[in-house]
Amino acid sequence: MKHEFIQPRFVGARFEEHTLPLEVARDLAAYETLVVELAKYLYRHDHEGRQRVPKGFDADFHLHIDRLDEGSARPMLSIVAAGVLVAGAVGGGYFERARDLISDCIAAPDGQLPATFPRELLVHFNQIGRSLHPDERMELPRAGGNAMAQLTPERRKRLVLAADTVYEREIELVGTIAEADWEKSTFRLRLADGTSMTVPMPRSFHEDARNYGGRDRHQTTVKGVGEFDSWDRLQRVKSVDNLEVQTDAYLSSRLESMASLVDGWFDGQGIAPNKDKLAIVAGALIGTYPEQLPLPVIAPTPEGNLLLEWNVPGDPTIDLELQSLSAAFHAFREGEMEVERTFVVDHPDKWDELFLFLSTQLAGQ
Amino acid sequence: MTENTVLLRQVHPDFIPGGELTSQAFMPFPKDEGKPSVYDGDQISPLESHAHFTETLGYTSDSVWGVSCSEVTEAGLTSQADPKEHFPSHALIDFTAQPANAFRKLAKKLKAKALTRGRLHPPL
Repeated sequence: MKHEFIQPRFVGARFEEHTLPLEVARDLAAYETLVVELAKYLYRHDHEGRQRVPKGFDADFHLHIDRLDEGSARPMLSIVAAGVLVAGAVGGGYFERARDLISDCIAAPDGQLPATFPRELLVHFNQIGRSLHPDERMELPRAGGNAMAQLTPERRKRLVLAADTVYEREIELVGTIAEADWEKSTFRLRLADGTSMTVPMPRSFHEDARNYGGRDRHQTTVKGVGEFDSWDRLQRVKSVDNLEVQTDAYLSSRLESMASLVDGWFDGQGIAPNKDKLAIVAGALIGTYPEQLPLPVIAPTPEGNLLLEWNVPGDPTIDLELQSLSAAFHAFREGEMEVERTFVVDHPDKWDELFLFLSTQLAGQ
Repeated sequence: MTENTVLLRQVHPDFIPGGELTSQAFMPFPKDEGKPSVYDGDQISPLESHAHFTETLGYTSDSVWGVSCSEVTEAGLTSQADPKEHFPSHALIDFTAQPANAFRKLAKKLKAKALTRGRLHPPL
């Protein structure tokens, strides 16, 4: 048997094609959990003296996404039960009351939450709506023909903070691994602004933490859930969903930037660097560029080649002609002396030779 | 122009990645035929030159940097006024007396002077 329960409406750019991203299903699952918990609360409230709800109270309450109607994305959530779930039966009626009270809670002005809604259940809004982007909202129908309740990321935050000092939000942090605490299985992520955050470290990341800890050239991206205060300041990384290391992040980023250039990039002129040749250069530099050497500034030339330039005494540069993979080095030395040497880096060994040469030219910088 | 005239160079964003000025900003481009364009700083301010370059001419400029005529001479190059109709402050730095394979080191010399002077627009 199935019985239509509620049909939320998701509004925002992601939903305009009348599809529902999978991550939104987690929000709906959290909604189901809140309905059950609130229903149990309402039952206990109506039956003073009872500590527990009857056995099997929510056994037949399972929400399924029955279909997805148009009008942005409107999933119909239906109760699918083995038997008939009717008012008066175990659990029956209380789920509908919980549903309506949740909508009223979302719709209530700040500071005017329904008195019958228990504050301790507001924590469930850490999950419900967490996948919503800033420009999105989840609308829930209300009883009595009232205007739809609108759950936005901001509204969700206010609901949680009505009962707590922090609320949860998805995070994506980028930084370098400063150090690891093997005993606590955490590592300290140093962010670009100089601050750092302790991050839970799954066992699967231990090897990467050992390899890349303390090496500032390699960036780590942390995706997970963070706890924020009312001023939206990250207080803690609560959980981690994904950790990814990008080796030689700066070099990688610059070469990707070169690869994104198109002919005419220089005010209508300028040849775009050849992407295949750039891939060869990227393969030679990323993960291989010696860590003891300072990083070069990398710029394109209008002729479609690369300039590598180091901001160290002597102003060393390499003009890298991509077609021939010819690397012309130049640096000033004391007096009127200069160093010039050309390498053809068309083989990994030749890059090693160039790196060795650079280690003598950029030494002590 | 005098030896103290500061010649203003517009720097394309790709030549100053992450705010790091590169010598590419002072290299002659293929279309320059060895004579990259600059603005005569006695006739126009860095702010005005940036506005002229980006709004009147429609080109892209991240910032304005400068070298004096005497610094150009010191680097082994020459400079000359090259006024055009509706563009009286146009000037050139002339690399043509030097071989093309020397352009990089010459551009680096100019860059070093410009760095010492500091960015002219936006003002620091």
